[in-house]
Amino acid sequence: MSHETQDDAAPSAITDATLVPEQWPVHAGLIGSILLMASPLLLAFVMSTQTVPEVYDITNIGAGSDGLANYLEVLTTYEMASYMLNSLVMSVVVTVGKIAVSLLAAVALVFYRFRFKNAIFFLILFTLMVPVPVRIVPLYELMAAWGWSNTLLALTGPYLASATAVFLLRQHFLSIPDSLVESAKLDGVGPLRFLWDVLIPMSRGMISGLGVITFIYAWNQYLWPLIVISDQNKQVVQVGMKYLQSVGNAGQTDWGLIMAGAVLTLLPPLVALIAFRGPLLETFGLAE
Amino acid sequence: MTGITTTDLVKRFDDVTAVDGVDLNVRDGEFLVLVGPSGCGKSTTLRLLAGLESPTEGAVEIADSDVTDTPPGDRDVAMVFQSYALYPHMTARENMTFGVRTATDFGSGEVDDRVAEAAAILDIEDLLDRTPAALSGGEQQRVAIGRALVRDPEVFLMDEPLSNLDAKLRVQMRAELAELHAELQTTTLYVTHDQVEAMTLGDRVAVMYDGELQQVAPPQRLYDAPDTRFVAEFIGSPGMNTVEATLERRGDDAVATWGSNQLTLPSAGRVADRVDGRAVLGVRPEDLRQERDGPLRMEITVTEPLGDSLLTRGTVGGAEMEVSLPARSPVGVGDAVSLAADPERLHLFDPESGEALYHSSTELDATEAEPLLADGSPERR
Repeated sequence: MSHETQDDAAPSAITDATLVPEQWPVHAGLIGSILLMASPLLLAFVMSTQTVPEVYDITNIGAGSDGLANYLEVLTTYEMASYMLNSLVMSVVVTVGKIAVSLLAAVALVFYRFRFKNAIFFLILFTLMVPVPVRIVPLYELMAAWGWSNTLLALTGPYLASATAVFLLRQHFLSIPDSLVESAKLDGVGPLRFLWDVLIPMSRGMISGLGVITFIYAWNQYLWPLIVISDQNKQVVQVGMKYLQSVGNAGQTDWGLIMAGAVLTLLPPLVALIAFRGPLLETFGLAE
Repeated sequence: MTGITTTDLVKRFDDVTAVDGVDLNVRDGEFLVLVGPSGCGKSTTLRLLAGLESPTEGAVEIADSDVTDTPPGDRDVAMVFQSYALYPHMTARENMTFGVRTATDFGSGEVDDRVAEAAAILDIEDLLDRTPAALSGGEQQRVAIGRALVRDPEVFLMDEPLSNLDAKLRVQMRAELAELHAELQTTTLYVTHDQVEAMTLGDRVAVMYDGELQQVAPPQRLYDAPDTRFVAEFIGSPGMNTVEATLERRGDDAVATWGSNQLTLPSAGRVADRVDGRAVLGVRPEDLRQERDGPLRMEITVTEPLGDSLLTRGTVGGAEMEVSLPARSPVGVGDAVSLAADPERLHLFDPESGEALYHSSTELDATEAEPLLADGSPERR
């Protein structure tokens, strides 16, 4: 019986996968555009394996003779490993902290009745118009006044409140039927238990999607860490990349090293993207 | 005693008065159905009892203690929602146990026993490890009821629990709910807009309209002796025909006239004296019959064969009326038929207030105090 089913299914699968000759130009076009879009990345990867002279030889776009030596050097001699660790700590703290704060804010905005609720919500939305770079000077003064400069607190604190995350979670919570909340109320289930046992499991997709976006956003921060962190060993990977620029002999920048650093820097967000692509799409689908 | 009593309950939303001075008394162990059209305030009343809304005025008592300001979680009531309100990420079993631990002081062994017991009663033992998405509507509703059973509350509140089910399943679940109540004897307040559900399930039925209680009575009495014109028109399927008529005394009796139609109402003479010549006559479609020289003449506009009867709609002296004729009666649209009414089953209502003035049945009298109450307590209206 199962044998027959396989026989039935197999031909149609083959037909689907077979290239129809008329469609070759389409496929060629698609492959071409993908190559075009990916070319900077591919080039970076190629250059990361080349020695300095090979990089400066423009026509040489084959794999270089350094192999993975640049990667090893970047990770050990130039301490990319420790920058990456710093970035990882920062990104995880920002992601967890931002989601925790936003969850609580969204719960308050959706499930509690208090005065000026809408005004408060719009005030939160207004902060979207004041991104971190605009706030850098006052924020820096604040950090200095509190003695937070050059600490993880300064690195992560300003990122914890997010209007976007509050907004997305609020919209998601609004789509949860009132009767679920009321049923919990009748059972005497407290707000925190409701958040933990009902809201979070029901918002798993939204939360992981937000988590990926936040993680990548935090990982890519450059300006604020550059300003607020003064010790090189506490610095994050994006700023660490800048340090690589000054490495090199006789005014020749060692692009091989920089590209190796760049490829390494790309990897964690890439892994996060691939691992959580499902919920990420769900988040954007709902956010439309 | 675990009854529910509300005193002069009022709920206003901005300028809309949803519940307007409701005095309701649900007795210990009683199944009381609150019925009314959409927007009549029945669901709001239920939510006031549950504590999901707080009353603008008035008080709520459950089991002889004032719970007007008690949060819903401390009232020991369980509610079954029209939308089931099952948590989609939990299995049926988790749904049934989730609220129990906070709401009661059952140990975990006891909770398991109670879930098993409720599942056996509702016949959902095989479904306990499925999530709501893998259950049909009827099965979800059973789980929702099971969740209420496990709680073992003082009071069940049910908000149109069968409305989302298809017709056949609804009839089946209705019978099961009745059985369940007969077995458990838990005080239950059940809200529905479906008067058939109300009549079949309720020990007593409370009819609500425009935020006010119209009548609270056992189903048969509601049908036989409606207190108001609204109840008369709402209860029954289809409801009672009503028509404005002139009323004249003729000896002990009275005669109602509209157009060229006349009906004699036995012993209604005194009523005719009171009402200044005008009243609303009520007669149920089932109490009209075709008769060769009957006093009423109906022009048929629509016929609806229901199988066991032929529902016929038409105009009698300019007024829309419905009559239930025997199945396969040889009548068609455009025909004129003569009708007679059962003199024992006529009603009169006040044209302004809609209050009942007269029921022709000798066993019933609109002005009489409720004779059908077991404990003899005065009916709240």
